[in-house]
Amino acid sequence: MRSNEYFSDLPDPALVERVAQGDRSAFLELYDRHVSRVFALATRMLGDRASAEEVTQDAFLKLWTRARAFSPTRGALLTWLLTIARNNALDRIRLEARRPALAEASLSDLEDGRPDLQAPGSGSEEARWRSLRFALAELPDGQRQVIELAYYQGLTHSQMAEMLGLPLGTVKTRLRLGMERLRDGWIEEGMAGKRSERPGSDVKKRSRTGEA
Amino acid sequence: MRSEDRGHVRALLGAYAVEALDPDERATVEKHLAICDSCRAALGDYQVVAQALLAAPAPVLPSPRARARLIAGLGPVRRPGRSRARPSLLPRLGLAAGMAALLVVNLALVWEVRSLRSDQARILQDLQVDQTAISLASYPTAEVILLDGESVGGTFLYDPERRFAVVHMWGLDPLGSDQEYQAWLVRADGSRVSAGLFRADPDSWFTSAVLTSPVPVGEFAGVGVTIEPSGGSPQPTGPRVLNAEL
Repeated sequence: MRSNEYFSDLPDPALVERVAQGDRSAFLELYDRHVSRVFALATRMLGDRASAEEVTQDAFLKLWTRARAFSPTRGALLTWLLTIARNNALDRIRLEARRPALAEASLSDLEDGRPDLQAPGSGSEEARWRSLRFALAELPDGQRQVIELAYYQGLTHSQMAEMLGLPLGTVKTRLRLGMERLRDGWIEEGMAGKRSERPGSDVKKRSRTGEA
Repeated sequence: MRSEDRGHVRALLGAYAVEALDPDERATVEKHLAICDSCRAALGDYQVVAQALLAAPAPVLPSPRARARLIAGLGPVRRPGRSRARPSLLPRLGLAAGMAALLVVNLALVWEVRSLRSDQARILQDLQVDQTAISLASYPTAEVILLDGESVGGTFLYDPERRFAVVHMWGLDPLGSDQEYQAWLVRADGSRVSAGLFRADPDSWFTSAVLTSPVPVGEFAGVGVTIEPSGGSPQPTGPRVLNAEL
């Protein structure tokens, strides 16, 4: 069953409507469109492919059974799927009391993994996500680490302080500064994007030796 | 309190967007957000970043097997209860297929229960035969004779004073459903009285049956087993399988 060409022209909300009617081809088109993002997030959070595949399956099964619950006015389908996947992954992390190894791969390291050849999303969206990925990689290690631990591992300020053996104030400061930089970069990127739709960021990957 | 509150909350908005706040601080921020437009706007910028962080990891494809498993696992779409819209044909076909599958499962269960019941009945019958045999063997006056046949053998356990006996046989061929084995008690004058019907046990080399007699078994001169049409015959008509003189 391969998603057909007609569907590949339809926008997400139109396909979701068809999925709500039980249209498998529409569902598979959405799967092929978004699965590499959902799987990338799940892999980033859980670290192993098997669990990540399960979390990804669950998110798409939810789309299949609950397509009616998705409302395009409240945001993009991909965000909806990613949010479901993140919540599932966090549940697993908490249930299994899985704790990340500090030296675990960061976003930038995953750049070397098997890339999705036809990455989804419009060109400019794609470029902005890539820029954000690089912006995160460009943060001082301590700032990047707390952002990732919080968002991808579900840890709070105090849990991170305990885990990292740092004063609570240090954790808070690092997280605040890191988020401010990402926000500023994002806004700047958005304005640059409006001036000229440039294909991608040329930010170089920094060497990541000597992590905190 | 508003202005210091705002400064404090502002510094926490980034952490709030990536859900890093501990419960007490989260409550403080949410309370303030409910009344402060500018902080809500500031939070919006962080939330956009947080959403983008979900999509930021470099895309990776799962295995093709995952896709195949997903397709295989797709059930019918859950529809809202009592939808006014007429359901399209496809989901109804799906429903029909589901009902049919359920029916098959139910039929299989019914069949299973029936076969269990028949197993149980057979086991009870075997038990009865064994108990009868044991009780017979315990009579001081009980006698055992050998039954002879072609590639078939057996024993006949009886007490001359009793009106029942137990026959143990081995090597009996399982018969078609239209035939049964019938045991006969033979009087001295050659007349025969039916002593019961039985089938060969398909799961065992041995077949046992309790035979009943209208009069004490000691009054008969012999015993035999023939193959008869299912339900038995008033007098032997089929081939003789086993016989013996008492």
